[in-house]
Amino acid sequence: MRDMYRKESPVEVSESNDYVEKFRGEFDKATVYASSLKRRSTGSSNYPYAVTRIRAMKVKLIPRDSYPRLLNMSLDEFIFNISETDYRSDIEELSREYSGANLIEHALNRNMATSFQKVLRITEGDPHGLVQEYLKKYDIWNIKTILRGKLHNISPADIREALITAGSLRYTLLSSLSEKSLDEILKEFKETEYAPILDSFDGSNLPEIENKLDKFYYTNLFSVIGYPFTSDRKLFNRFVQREIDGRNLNLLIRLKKAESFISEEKLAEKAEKSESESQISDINDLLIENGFEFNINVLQDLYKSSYEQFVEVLKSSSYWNVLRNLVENKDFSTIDLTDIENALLQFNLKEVTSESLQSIVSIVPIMEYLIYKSNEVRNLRIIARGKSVGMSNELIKEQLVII
Amino acid sequence: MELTTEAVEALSKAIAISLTGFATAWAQKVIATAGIGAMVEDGSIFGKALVLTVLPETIVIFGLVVALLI
Repeated sequence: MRDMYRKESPVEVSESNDYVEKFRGEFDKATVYASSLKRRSTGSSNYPYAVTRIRAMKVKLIPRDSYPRLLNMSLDEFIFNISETDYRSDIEELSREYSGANLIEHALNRNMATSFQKVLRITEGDPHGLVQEYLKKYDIWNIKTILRGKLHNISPADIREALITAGSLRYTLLSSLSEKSLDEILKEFKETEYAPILDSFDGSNLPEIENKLDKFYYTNLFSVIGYPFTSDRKLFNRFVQREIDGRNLNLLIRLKKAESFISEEKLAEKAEKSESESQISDINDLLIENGFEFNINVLQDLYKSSYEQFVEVLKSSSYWNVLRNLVENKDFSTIDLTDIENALLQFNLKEVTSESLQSIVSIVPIMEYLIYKSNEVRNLRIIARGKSVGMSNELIKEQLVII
Repeated sequence: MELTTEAVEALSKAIAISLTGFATAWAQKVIATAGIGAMVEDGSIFGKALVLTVLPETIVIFGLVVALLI
């Protein structure tokens, strides 16, 4: 674990005092690390080579016309067809250990991790550093998976199956962690950027730790972006902010829908206890700051508002066009969460595509590939899992986001 | 040292050739690296990439024509 940080010199850390001042708190150590990484990843970028190659990789993704054909297949036919694509080597290598939907799931995860690592190998300089930092979302995913697994006594083999090694933590390290006890795992993370958060893990506060890890990921990402001076960083900043908007809106709607099912008695009881202040502090722990269209104050107001007010705020945003049919003439208890989640994802994919056409040689085509690839993996996983449990084609199709 | 008409003529020709030469080299560098990037993923586009790479040669040819006309 220490090897990851070997290149950091004491000089680099001491030079990062401005970041420490700015983000004083429990993320101090992590921010210092991020700023030193920023220094390492500067240098000339190779956009013509990287962008063209990544665009060629995007062309190889499964085209939208193929999805209806894949939907009409049985699970075996589906696996056979997928094994004729870029997933061939992953499926062939894993077919000795797994079969059916499990085989597809593992092959997809492995292929996605390989593809993302390939993107890192292709890029150089600033885009390399930004992509590397962005892919740390899979490190957070893996840490959460291991902690959850250990807390619920899941076998190391099952934990390993859920890992997606697309981030900076290597499979060998994560695999060895899955064999260890919770205390040993936390000790392993002692000298990493996650230590300040994981130190407060006491075995009973996993949801809190998970929220902190998510927040830390975005805090870290923004500290690496810094003030977006270059057009490239501006584009990357906007991409991350849009992602945060989608995430926050999904969360907010999910919470409001869940609340709409709580009985009125319980709500009254809650209101008697501490009015809405406790709700706000709760939601503050969950929401991610620095969204593109919805800042934290707007989201807090939305959380307290009625459905009609919520719709009014949505009307003034660019998300209205995609959410209009899903929220009009409904209320929190009747809106479909999956539809909204899919619509927001589709909106983000379309936005990135349109920006990628405007900024042809920039970081956007690289980010476009990353989210299109993860969406393809998501779609194929849904089809495989849906087929394996006997879902109808129409129901599976509703869950897919096809662009 | 006197700047004669012949000297100015020679200098102009040199500027026309060298600037267009640098422009061609820069454009070819960008196009060729992009072409190589695409070819790594799809070898069948070699012909197209080669045609695109040699297109900037026209810039230096224009420079040559201008130099000959001076």
